[in-house]
Amino acid sequence: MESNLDQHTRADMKKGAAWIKFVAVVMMAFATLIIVFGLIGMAGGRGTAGIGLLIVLALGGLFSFIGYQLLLYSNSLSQAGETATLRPLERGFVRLKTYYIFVGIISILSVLLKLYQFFA
Amino acid sequence: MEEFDTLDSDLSVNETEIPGKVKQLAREIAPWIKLVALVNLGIQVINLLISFAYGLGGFEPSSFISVAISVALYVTLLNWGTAMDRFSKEGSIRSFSDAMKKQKNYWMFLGIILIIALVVFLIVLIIAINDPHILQDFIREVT
Repeated sequence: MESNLDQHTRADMKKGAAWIKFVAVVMMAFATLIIVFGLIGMAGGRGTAGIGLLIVLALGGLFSFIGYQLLLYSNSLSQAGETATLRPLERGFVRLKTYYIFVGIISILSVLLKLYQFFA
Repeated sequence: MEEFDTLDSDLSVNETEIPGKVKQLAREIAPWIKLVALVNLGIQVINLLISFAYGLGGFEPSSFISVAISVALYVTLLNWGTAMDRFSKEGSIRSFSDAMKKQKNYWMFLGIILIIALVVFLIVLIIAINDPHILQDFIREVT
């Protein structure tokens, strides 16, 4: 029967949400480390400190932002699993879409960098 | 012990119908998930080629293991993307359940890899704090 969310689906949603939350928290902690170590490095460096600081802050900010989107999605997914309704997923899927658009762009840039590395 | 919530007996069909917006968003998300999976699978192929090119035909077992784990991870992601695509087209609870199961598999896989990476990082950090020379010798040997 395909009318209700069964217990297994709800369990999958809740377990999935817990893992997503863990990944999001690690991602945001990583972003904080990038910013902290970047700032420490900048304090001890000379010359191109301005550009370096900008790159470090941009990278840290980007990882924080996508980690936060993932965290919000995990909350929506968890709520949907708890209540057995899919309305919270409307907001959650918007967050997931934002997350994957950013990750998609980062992935494309990575493959271009790899190709440059391979052919250069 | 695993605990399941019981489903309310008066939960109506309307309450668990798939909202149109959820299906529409799933249709928009699925291509991005598949793109990320395929691009990263491509990166693994390039990594293998770089490994062969720089190693003059030789092959490091450690790089093979890391590529194998990455390929398995992105195949799991591709499965989730395909399931999301199917859900956006069919819009049934069954296809939604399948997408949620595959989503859980992917994030669990990624989470376990992260835990292992964090444990390795902590071990390296403890070694580096206790005796920096061991780490320096290891890095010199590897490079």
